Parts: sequence; C-alpha cells; structure tokens
Amino acid sequence: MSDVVLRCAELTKRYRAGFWGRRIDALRGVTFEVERGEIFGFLGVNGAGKTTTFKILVGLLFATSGRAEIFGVPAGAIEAKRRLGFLPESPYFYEYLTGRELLDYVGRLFGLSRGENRRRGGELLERLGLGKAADTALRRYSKGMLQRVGVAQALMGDPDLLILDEPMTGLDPLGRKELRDFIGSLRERGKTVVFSTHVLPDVELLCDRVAILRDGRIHDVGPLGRLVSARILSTEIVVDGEPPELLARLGGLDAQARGGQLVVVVAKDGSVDVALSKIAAAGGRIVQVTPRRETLEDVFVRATSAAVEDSPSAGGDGGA
Amino acid sequence: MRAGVAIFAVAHNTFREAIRDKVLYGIVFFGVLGLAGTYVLSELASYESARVVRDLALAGSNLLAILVAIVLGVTLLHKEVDRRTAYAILPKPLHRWQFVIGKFCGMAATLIALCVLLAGVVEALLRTQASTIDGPTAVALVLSLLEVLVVTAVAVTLSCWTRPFLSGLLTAGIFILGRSAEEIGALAARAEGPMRLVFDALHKGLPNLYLFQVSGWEVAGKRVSIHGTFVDWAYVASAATYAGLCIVGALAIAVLLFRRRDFV
Repeated sequence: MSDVVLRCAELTKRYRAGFWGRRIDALRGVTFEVERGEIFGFLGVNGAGKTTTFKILVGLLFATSGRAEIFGVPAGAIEAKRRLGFLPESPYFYEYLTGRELLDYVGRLFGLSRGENRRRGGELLERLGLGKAADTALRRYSKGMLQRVGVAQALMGDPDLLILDEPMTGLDPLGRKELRDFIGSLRERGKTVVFSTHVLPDVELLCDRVAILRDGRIHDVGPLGRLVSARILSTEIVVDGEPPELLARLGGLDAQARGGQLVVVVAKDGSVDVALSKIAAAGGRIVQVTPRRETLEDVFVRATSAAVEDSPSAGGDGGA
Repeated sequence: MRAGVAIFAVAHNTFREAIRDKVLYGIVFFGVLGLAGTYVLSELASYESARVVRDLALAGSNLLAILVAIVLGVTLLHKEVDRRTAYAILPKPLHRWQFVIGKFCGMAATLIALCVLLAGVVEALLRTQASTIDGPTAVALVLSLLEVLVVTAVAVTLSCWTRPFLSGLLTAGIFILGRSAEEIGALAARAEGPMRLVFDALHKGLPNLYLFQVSGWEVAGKRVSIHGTFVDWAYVASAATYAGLCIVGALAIAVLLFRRRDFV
C-alpha cells in the first residue's frame, strides 16, 4: 500500500478578475507529495499560491487543470473530507455559537454520536486550553483563542491528515510554543500535518520536509537537511577587551564594537585560526566562537528574492 | 440517513443563528406593533370591526413574514461566504447540496416559527373582537405560510447568483409578479406577437403566488372569501403540492449555482 497521503500533480488555477476578465495564474503546475506521518511545511511569500493550493485540496476551489488527491481519492470528495481536518487562514466562525456548540456542530457533520461528540469536544477544548471558555460565545474570544478553537474544530473528526493554513497567526510566543508542541504530539499519534507559515523557526523545529512555493510553482521541495546545507557561511568571534585599542591592533580583520565587546566576523573562505592568533597576539580575550550555518531563512530569502527578480513585469499574470 | 444527519445539523445551526439574531427580533417587534395597530383601526370602523381586524391582521402578518423571508433569504448563503464561516464548514464531510438544502430547511423552520407566532397575534387581536381563528382563517394562514416558503426558496436561489441587494430587489419583483400571475395570464391571452411570448413566459416561468391569496377572488368559477365560503383543505393540499414543486425547482437551481462555485 502506498504511503502517499496527499498528491498534487501539475495543479493549475487560473482566475479571471476585473471588468476585462484579466487573467491571473495563481498556480502554474504545482507538483508535490506528502507521506504518511510527515509534518510538511508549505512556505512562500504572500500571493505565492499556498492558500489556493490548500483550498483546492479541501474542496473550496476547483483546479483549472491537474490532479489533487487525498488518500488516493480526488480532493473535495466526501471520502477525502472524512479523513481530513482543515483550519482556514484567519478563521471566522459563527460568533453566536460558544466554543462547545461549534465543536458539537462540526462533530454532527462528521456523524458522531451525541456522547462521542460531547466527549471529544470537551477533551479538545481542554487540551487546547479553552476549557474555561467552552461556554463563552465565540464573539468574545481573542484572536489567539479563535485560532485554537479553529485547530480544535479541525481535529473533531479525528482526521488522518490535517491541513493548517497559517496556524501560528495571532498567537503570542507562549501560544505558538503550545501549538507547536501540540502539532508535534500529533506526529507521535501517527497523524500527517501539512501547514503553511511565515514563522520559519517553527518550520525548522517541526517539519520533516518543506516545499517552497514561488510564483505559483514549487521552487524546491525536500527534507530540511537537503534544502539547508550544513556548510558554514561565516564565523563570529566575540572578544573581550578595550574595543578602541583592540580595533587598532586588529588591522585586516572585519571587526566592530558591540556593547563593550568586539565582534570579529570571519568570512567562509577566511581562516579562523589566523584570526584567533591575531586576536590573542593583540591581547584580546576570546569569549565565544560561533560558526553561522545556512538557515531556512537564508534558503527562503534566496528563493523568494529570485521570485521577485524573475516575476513578469506585466501581462496580467501574478500570484494569488 | 447520513445525508439527513448533515442536513439536519446545518438546518439546526441556521435556525439557531436566526433566533439569536437581534435584527430579526427588531423586525418582528415592530411588525407585531404594526399588527396591534389594526386594533386601533377596528375601533374606528363603524361596523363589522371583527371583519376589519381579520382582513388587516391576515394581510399584515403575511406581508411581515414575506419581508422577513426576503431579508433573511437573500443574506442566507451570502453571509456564510462573506464572513467566510463556510470556509470551515464546507471542507467537512458534507456535499454542497446538503449545505444549501440544510440552510433552506433551517430558514423554513424559522419562518414556520414566525408564522405560528403571528397566528398567535392574529388570534389575540380577534379575541378583542369576541372572535377567534375559524376554519377559513386557519386555511388562509396555512396558504400564507406556503407562499412564504416559496418566496424564501426564490430568495435563497437568487442569493446564490448575485449580491443581497440585487437578489432582494429581484425577489420582491418576482413576489409582485407572482401575485399578479392571473392578470399576467389574462394579458398573455389578449396580447399578440412578441408581447404575448413575454407575458406567456412570465406567466409560466414565475411561481403563481395568486394561488395562495385567493380570498375575494374566483376559484373554479366560484367567488371565495374568508368571511364566507372559502377554499377547503383539498385545495390546500393541491396548493402545497404546487408550493413543493416550486421549492424543489428553485432549490435545484440554487444547488446547481452553488455546486461549482469557487470560494476564493
């Protein structure tokens, strides 16, 4: 049996907008797969096509061409939806409902019995820190609470695949950490999670694989270890001492004073040993030596700035 | 069975939304206040004040229910899309047709509750004239409810196609033309050339709402009135069948419009 949970093949989406029916190509042949048990990050600048891809996968949009499958059935089919949980971007819920009532409504759409509905809803609200607000109307919820109840409703059907569009939006650092831990715990329960975010450190902490979407196309997809190379970009040496005097004695090194210390940056092709000897000879006390490796942010910035340079200047095409 | 459960869940939520809507309470409050005004008018009538109350209360309650049906009907699906609440619900194991039918059923339940409330107001007003809801009045109230449900289905269908303001105007237009169906039919019989085609298309294409408001008109060659001989329950059954066909037809169009819609 194939372990592919989600498959997109040459997915395109074209809109017509405005009075003259201007053509907008939101997706231009998106192809990727997600395997069972993975936590998959979906990255891209605003308008790259992340939300459009997700909406096709959950049946809110129809692809212009190409194929999207979830568990081997076409995206949007009831059999696919039964095994899927979805959190939309900046979710809006019925503000006249309480958190408990919302989950009860969603549970009934999944055909849960009354008892199961109550048990699962209560459990999720507790796990997501909303136990005390369960009977409060959603109109009184903060943005972070709405985000959490959004995750809860996505989990009501006990889905095998969870698609979360910008789940970290509106959460404070503590809320973000809690949600990150929660998503991590889903992996332990064998769930597959696909999520989009702009918070790259979260992706680095959570994801097994990532896809970078650029201008409606997949720019790169793979395990984090492959996308982010292990090579050292530069080395930062922090030196204690009198900065003005040391600076004068460290000619030839890229150094600058920062908070009563001196920070020396050795480029990737420079010799750290030589720099360390020079600093020691000049009487500087070395406090810290930190090699700076490539981060996901570097990869992302490189990919997306290329998108800006490559993007067509006119002609009506653009991301959505 | 499972389809029914999903439809019921959507309908229940729609009903809950309506009964928690303060705007609806506002409309109903002022509408009931207006109906109560018929008591004042009846006091001004020099004779047959019960007849005045019966006529005005029935007409007033019918128009109020139609107004609520149009206002709520044209915003029913639009609100879900505009506020993006549908974005979290449609990805659940639910067909789009179930969503549309569920929304309509919830709205129908709301309007049935409203009509029962208005019937209570009519009864209270009649009691001030030492009268009560008799057989013909009950028949008239049921026919009025059927008309309200048909107008709701039209409003829901139009709301799948265009924005609330335009669909509200169109629904009101269809309501007026539907009430004038017999006159349009007569015009079609008399007109010639292209106008005949136009009147004929209007007569046959739009719901004939005249069938639900027959008091004071002729039915099968006999003049009927809620104050005298009125249509019987067999007529109500045939009107209900006609209303059912209109609702099914309108909702079929609504489902077709909603089925391939992109939620951008």
